[in-house]
Amino acid sequence: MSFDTPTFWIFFCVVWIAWRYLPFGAAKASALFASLLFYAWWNPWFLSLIGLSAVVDFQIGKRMGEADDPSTRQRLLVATLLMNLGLLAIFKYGPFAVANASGLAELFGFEVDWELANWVIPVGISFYTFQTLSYSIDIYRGRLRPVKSFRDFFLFVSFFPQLVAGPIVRAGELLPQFESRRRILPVAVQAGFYYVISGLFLKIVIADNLASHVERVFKMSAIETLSPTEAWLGAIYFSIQIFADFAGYSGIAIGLAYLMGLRFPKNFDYPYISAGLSEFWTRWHISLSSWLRDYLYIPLGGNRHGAARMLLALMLTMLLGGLWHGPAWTFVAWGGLHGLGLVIERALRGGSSGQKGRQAPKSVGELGGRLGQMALTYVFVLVTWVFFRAESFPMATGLLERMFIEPFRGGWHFEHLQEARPLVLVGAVALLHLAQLSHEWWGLRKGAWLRATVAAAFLLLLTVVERNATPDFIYFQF
Amino acid sequence: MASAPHRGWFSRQQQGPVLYGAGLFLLLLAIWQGVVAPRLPSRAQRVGTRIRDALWVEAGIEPFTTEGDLAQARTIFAGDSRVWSDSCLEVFDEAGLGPTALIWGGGAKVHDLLAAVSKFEPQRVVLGLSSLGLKDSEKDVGQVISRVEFPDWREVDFESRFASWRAKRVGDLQAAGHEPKEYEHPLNMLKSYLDDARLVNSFTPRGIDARLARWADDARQRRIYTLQTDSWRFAWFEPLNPRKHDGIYRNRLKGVPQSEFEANLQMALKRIRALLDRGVEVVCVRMPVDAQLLKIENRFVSPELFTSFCEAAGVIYLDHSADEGLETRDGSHLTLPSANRFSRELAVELHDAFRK
Repeated sequence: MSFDTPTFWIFFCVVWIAWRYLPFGAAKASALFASLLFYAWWNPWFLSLIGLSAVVDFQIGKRMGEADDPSTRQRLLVATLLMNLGLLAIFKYGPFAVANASGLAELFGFEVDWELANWVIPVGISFYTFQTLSYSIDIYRGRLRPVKSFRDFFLFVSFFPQLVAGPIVRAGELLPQFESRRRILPVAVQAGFYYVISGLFLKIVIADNLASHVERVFKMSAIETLSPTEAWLGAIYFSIQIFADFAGYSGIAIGLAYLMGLRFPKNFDYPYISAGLSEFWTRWHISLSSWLRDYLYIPLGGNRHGAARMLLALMLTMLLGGLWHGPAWTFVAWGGLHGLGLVIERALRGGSSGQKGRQAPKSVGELGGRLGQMALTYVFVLVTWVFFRAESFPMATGLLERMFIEPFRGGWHFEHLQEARPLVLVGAVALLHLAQLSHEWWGLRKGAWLRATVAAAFLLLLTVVERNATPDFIYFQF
Repeated sequence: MASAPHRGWFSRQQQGPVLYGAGLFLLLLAIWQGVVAPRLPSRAQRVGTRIRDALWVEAGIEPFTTEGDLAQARTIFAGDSRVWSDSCLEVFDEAGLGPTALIWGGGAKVHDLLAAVSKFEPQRVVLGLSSLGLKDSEKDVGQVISRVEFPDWREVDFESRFASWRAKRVGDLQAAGHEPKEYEHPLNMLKSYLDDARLVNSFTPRGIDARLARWADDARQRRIYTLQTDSWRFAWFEPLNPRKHDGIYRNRLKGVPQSEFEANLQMALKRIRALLDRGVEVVCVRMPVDAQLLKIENRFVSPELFTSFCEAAGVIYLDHSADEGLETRDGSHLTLPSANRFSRELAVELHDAFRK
């Protein structure tokens, strides 16, 4: 059940009524049932895994809270880490590991053909395992008390708005909201509708309509015939598609939470106006980057043990962050490139994170410099997206060659500019980023009237623009 | 004196933006429908009012799309996308030719269409002829059917599910002693998978999603002019203007040997004769097309070929390729008003033709 289907909205109406009007305990139970139904809609077998994860983590959390002995707490922490990461390793990375082991064995002269066929990755496993890990680790650190009700805990793990694609909500953020019923404030309902409408707009109008243009470019058979224009356009379209898709989904999740009187953290903050990679990671998938910072980067030493250790921790965090996205070396490469970029940026900035991006430039020179940094950051991120989207290294390097080397070899051709028409969708997203920039630099107010105007425009486009389901053959056949 | 607390969702202050937003949306929609949409090209895609399905003829051949109940139809229309866009089945039903049904495929080969028609028991067949219908098909079938007929394809995990299913299927077939190569043809695999999936999806969450989504989409398209953005090259942004884009059409016909046209006609001839032997009445129609495209078609496939083909088959041939007063949206497919007008004229002609 996806947020952009009529089924989901019928489902949500029923869930909302139950949440709003039943006694709070029953409301939570109904929300839990609804969340499990939502998850089972993808595949009922997935329920056993999330159930197992929830039961084990709840028990471990409970025992950790009761244990005074630090070594017992440590053993319990190790147990939860092993279980959660083990589940992730087996179900998400199993086929990847087996395929790599097979390749390695062949390198050493063994003729093997290991393969895990018929493997289906449980939807959302990366998200909910990180959520339950945050619960256990926060209890271990003494920052959180174990929750008493399994129902509340299971609801936290499986809550349908953020189960499949985030944001990764920490236990400390969501569980307190389940302790007592919160009034659904009118301003939250307004915000909720705005987030939902803008999220659907980004997903359905922007992302879905860019998808086919991206697919045409990221095809191994097509790479060698691409002109530099097409290659650049394809990469740009993907950068917007992935933003719109992901930010759209997160936006809808946040909006749904608002409509239920709950608060989720912001997950995207117009990342393409970042003037540096450090800033980019405070605007892109914020819930993941903050999770990695708090549970990986800082425990690895952070910036407290000298520059070398900091840079190593940064690199490792980004490599694992890349791997989290998917079982493929291209994702690791994507993470590695970001790690490298961050390392270089930190080194150049003398260790500071450079968070001046959100302040207005004070002079024309500073404005020019800031715009230059934004452009550079965007181009760097664009290059990394090529690895993220490509199915293989040859595809990624092939596309980058068409982008950066072919213009000098074969010249820049503009005969494919008709492929540039989807730039109007890119323009829409650019406009949103520009509005955010204006808000940050010059205080453009994002008041209720402006949001209402924007929401009306989004709703119109949602109504009149069809989803990209129209096959080519409707137009190309005679 | 303190004012009474406001009961309800919004305070007056908060009602303003919400009402404003809702009102603005309705105003913009009204402007779109009343002012903008009438100035845009007519959509090619019809809103589905009949049962739509994919019809598999045989392995390796692109499936056709059907409308209407083929098993019950007395008159079956068969052809390429021109037949689909230009024929208003309701008009033919009202004219007494019904019940009618349609089998069509993009650039479908004439003899393949006849093979599909042969599976049913109509009294009459109206066969659309075009130059591209005599040329071998080149489409990626998997892409075609998956995107149109089976929303399942849009599911994020479709590919992994299909890959899993395919691997198991090949294994099962090998275990049963079948030569895997013949079953590895992606079209065969996709066909079987989608047949299975269709059965499963009817009673599964995905089936519910798909049906609700289709219902919602049809309801929206019936009332509101919607933009199809996928084919940006030829969609509303720049309707296919034959004066600008005929090169593409020319390229599709260029390089096709005359022998290929003739060989396909021979196969079609055999199948028409088989239908006639069964007592089925057949009429061939060449659908309207823009003058510029017609010039290109006639350059590659002589109009006399169609005439002599129909004579050899012993069927009536209605040549509407050069009809005037009809408007195409892209040089090849009639607009809805023109399709209605054309269908009414054709209905009269078909009545006379079938009586002969």
